[in-house]
Amino acid sequence: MWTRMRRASMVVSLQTAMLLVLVLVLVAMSMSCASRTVSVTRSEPLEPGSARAESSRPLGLDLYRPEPADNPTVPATVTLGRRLFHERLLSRDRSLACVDCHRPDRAFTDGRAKAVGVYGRRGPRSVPTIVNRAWGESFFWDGRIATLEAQVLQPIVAQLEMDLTIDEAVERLRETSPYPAAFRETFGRAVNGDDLARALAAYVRTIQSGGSPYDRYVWGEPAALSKDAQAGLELFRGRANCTACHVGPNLTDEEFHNTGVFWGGQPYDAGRVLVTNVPEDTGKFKTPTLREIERTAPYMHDGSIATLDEVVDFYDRGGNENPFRDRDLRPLRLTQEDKTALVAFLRSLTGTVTDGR
Amino acid sequence: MNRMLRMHRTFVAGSVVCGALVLTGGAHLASTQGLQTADAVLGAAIHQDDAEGNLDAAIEGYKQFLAQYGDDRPLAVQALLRLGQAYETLGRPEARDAYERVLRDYADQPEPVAAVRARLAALEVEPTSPSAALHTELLWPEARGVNPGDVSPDGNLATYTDWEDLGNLAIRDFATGESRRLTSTADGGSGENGGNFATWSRISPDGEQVLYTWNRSSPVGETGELRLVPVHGNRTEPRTVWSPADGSSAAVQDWFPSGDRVVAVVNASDHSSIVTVSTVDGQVRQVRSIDWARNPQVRVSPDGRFLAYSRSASREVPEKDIFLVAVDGSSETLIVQHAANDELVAWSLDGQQLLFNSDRSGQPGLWAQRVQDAEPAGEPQLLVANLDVGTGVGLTRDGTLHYPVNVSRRRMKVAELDMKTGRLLRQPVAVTDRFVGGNTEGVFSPDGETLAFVSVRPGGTQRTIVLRSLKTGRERDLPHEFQQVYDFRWRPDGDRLTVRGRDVGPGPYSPLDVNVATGEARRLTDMTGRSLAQPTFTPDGTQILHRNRDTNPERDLIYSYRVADGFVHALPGVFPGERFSLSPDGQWIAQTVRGFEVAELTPASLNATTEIRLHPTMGADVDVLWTTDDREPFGRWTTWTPDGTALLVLKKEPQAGDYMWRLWVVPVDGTDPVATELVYEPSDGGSTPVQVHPDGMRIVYSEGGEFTQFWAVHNLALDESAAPSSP
Repeated sequence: MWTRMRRASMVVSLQTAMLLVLVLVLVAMSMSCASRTVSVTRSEPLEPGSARAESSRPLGLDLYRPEPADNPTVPATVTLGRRLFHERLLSRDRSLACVDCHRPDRAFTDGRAKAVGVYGRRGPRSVPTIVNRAWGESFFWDGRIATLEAQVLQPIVAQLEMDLTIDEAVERLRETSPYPAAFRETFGRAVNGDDLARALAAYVRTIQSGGSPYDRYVWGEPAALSKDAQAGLELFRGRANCTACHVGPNLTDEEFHNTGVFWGGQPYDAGRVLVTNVPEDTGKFKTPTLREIERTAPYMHDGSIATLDEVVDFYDRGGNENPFRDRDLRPLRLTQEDKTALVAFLRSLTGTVTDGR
Repeated sequence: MNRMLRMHRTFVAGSVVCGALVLTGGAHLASTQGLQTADAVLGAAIHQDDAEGNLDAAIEGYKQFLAQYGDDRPLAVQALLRLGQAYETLGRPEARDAYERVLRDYADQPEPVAAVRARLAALEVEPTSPSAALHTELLWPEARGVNPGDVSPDGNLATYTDWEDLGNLAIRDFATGESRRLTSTADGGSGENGGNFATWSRISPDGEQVLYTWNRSSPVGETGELRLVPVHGNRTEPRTVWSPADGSSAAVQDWFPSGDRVVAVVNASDHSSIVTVSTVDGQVRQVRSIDWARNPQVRVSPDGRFLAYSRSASREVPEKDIFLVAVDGSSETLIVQHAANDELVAWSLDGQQLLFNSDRSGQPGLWAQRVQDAEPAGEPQLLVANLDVGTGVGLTRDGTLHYPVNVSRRRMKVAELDMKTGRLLRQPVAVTDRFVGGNTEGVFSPDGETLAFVSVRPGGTQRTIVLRSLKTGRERDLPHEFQQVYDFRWRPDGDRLTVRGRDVGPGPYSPLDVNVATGEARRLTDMTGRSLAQPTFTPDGTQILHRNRDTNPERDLIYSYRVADGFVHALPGVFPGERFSLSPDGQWIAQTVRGFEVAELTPASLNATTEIRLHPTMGADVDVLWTTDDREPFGRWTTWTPDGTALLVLKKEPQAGDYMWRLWVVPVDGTDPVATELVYEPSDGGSTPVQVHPDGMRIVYSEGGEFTQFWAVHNLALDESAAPSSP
């Protein structure tokens, strides 16, 4: 009895979940025929102004969305950022905008194994999805950038991506309507690099994924997940140990792990150690969100795994053995039934992607 | 009686102490002789005052004395002094009248007059009443088996989970000292998949309702839903406000001032989420999730706009800070940041300050941080030094803070038994006088020279492993702390311990191999399994038997992990879900199996009794060593004697309206169990097994339970200029 009491006082066991009665009903109605529909919705209209963007979240995401004090997520900034996100002037050959690699119809990835920049230049890593990056704690596969405002400028200046200097980008925007007026209206000053970053980051913060069958299930709608997917969730949280890394509303610990993908890869990419110079960080890459995972193939930082079935196989064998492999990885000895269930669960993470609010 | 007033009374009483002693003696003498002398009357009043603590009776006695013997000026002035003190203690204004009468009528007696002037001066400083001084008050001296919930706004009632009543929600009336049930269907958590019981509870702002977390069993384990029950209602069915998906649990945290919404924390296996829930329609909003924090304490600001909560700043840091998040999610601010551990306690009534418990001064203390526009304003102020309120229970509308104090009577003891006759050859003695109350899980080394045990140090949450030489009594702390340590066992070589535990910081519970020379701990297997319980090496060291705790009872089995290649297989036929012990030769597994759990698997055995079973590790028929018709007669563990001829078990037996536990020796050859002379109250709910020394006679065990005291600290000086006080 005392044991029970102690356990209760530490607060009872258990697994995630919530019931959002009214919202669930609405979500269930809206998604009943199209739970896996590739959809991008946006709050309309996004009028310029100083009012904060509507505090609205897809099911499963926190109301609290971190943002820096000097860049509140207000409609005017978001609107400008969205336009910039689609602006091909920001690449050297005017062929690429952010959206060309972060395609809404692919959950803001590009479907390629490796990123392709201007003039067909190929990057060493795959394009990660940028859904729910508002809750990110570091950016890029190796976490080398600490803030979203700093991150959004990096692809512009990267030679393998858009290959423009910030000065050049600012110059181009100053010469192109409606940017001079839009920047002045939004920030009260001429186009500049910092505000370019603010606008892009503010928009990226509004790219959200939630309201998936998984969310509906954990918020109290038992029928939202198939029996297979429910079994997969149990494995995910239990024997398969996926929650060692894929945790929380965004299904990532925002930490770095060595699963061995890099081991033997071409080109050799040592990951996080290049940022920290700590030997133990060799081969570590940031845990990606699993939201929209069905739509973000191919997988891993190098796009080396084509399908979810193969991803599950990879983890079933404990990843790739290497001197720095994460200790949470081990052979799982999953049955084919287990694997099918896990993949069914992963597919249930496809929800509704929204931007602009 | 509070500390300040005790002090006052001691001071004033000093001048009359000799006389009082004489008078008290006189009272007894007088009463035995049937006489009514001045001495006897005053002595009887003083006896009521000092010995009985019955101030009302004492006041009447002093008044009687003054009425009858007011002419006896030396005694009358003492009676007036005492009368004033008694009134002062009770916070009654008549105290001033009594003191002023001394000044008016006894101005010729300098000592009493000086004492009275001092008291009147003090009353000027404390113009409202003596109770305006900071003081603590013990409201419920010994609450057994409770988890505190909340205090009512008027401070008269407190909710709690009553584990002496199977986990029902109950409420205590401090004025009458009576408790009553608010729910009636708890089963102590012993039912299928977890059972039914209450945990967290909070009383509504109007004091009329209690919102609580009700844990109910479900196919995938306990589910914690939010329920409402009237405070004053009788036999009213609770109303379910929100029932989350099976296997999820919401811990009630606080009410919004509007009384139509509450805040709760949903604890998942991988993170916690702060949510608000409408008590009207169950609508839920997810405000803030934290990957690494378990069950942060959350309190709603008096204006209902913000949620204060405590958590560590990151998963690498165990010490907590205090944050403020807007209810609409629009902002979050770090309010209290310090390397020490800061636990949120409450908002001040005006919403201007956050009260928190912190060890930043080296000792626990109650602190306050002023908050302005959702930002910290100024430095934290120490309100009360050397007071550990934990996370508190609640703040009443007059600003009194209620808090629980856990008191442990736990002692780890060694005794010597004749295993054949059950006689105590040597009476139990305490093992150590260091950190008394915090030691448990004693286990003898294979050579019999060392006792290893786990020690929880005051104020700490980490566990230290201690090695005590049985020859010299010298103790050595291993230089490594653990967040938790269970299932303590020596390896046969005596160089290492096998434990199920967790290093400091987040991570799964794992079988750990602890080097007793260095304290270094490493994982024993590559099986990450937070559910791996009771890791037990076979005598040849080739396998680790363990229980795989799982919400699915079909998988909650005893498994063998082969060290050489990691091959895992379930032991056939061994009953799932029970603590097991492996015989010294590795051939047998012993378990206590409760009948109603048997019934879950085999309905035909619905009426089965509780059994002590013996099962061969290689599979064969089960031997039942002992069967009883009681539901839970035995402790949950069995311990083998070193020669493998018998098992030790605890068995419940009635004693003085309650029950105690007696240690029994159960021979495995099927002969009758032997009752030993050792009867005791096991600590830790009886979850820690008795361990036997290799000599087969000495045993080590932990006895003495814990209880909770309910305290209140009155008149907190929520003012930046106030100097810290000590209760």
